[in-house]
Amino acid sequence: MFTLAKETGWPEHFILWELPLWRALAYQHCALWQNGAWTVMPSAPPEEQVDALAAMEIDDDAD
Amino acid sequence: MNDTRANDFLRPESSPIPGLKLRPLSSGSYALLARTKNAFVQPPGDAAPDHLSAALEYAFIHAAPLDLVIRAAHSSPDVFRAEAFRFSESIPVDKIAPLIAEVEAGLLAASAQSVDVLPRPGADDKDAPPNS
Repeated sequence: MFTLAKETGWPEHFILWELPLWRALAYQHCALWQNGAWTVMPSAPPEEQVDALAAMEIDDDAD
Repeated sequence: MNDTRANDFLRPESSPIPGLKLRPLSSGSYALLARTKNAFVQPPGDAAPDHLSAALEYAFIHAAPLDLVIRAAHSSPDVFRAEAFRFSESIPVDKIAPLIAEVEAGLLAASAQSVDVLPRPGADDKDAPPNS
């Protein structure tokens, strides 16, 4: 919230209660980029990653 | 920004309950949902989540006067649930399903915009994950 307020000058009440969360996150992403941060899509939850790994077929003839 | 993210960003406001204006899901209201342990923002547990109560408490947090909501959320869980129950008596039963759909759509839209921050790769960043 501090970053958004600093970058935009929007009041605290607007950011906290009126700005939709998805837009706040998009603007925060822009601010992160603007300040040189390296951002990546969030990882899938660990359970999903384990399930995906478990579902992979192992090729015994790979060597 | 891909199409999904752009569509989520421009998601219009909607009100699944005629006559009841909901404030948008926001950083402040999300904090209140988390504080009150709303099932929509809790990690899945062993017990099946109570989506009906969660939806009614969501409506209370997003439609009741803000000072009342904040006060209730910072009282005991019993006080909060009693206030939410009193407020939700005015919500028609047939609007619960659209309300739940609206909650889930809002949370999905927020999820689509979230990113993780990693240490910036060095000069040789050929193995770095793609910058989103």
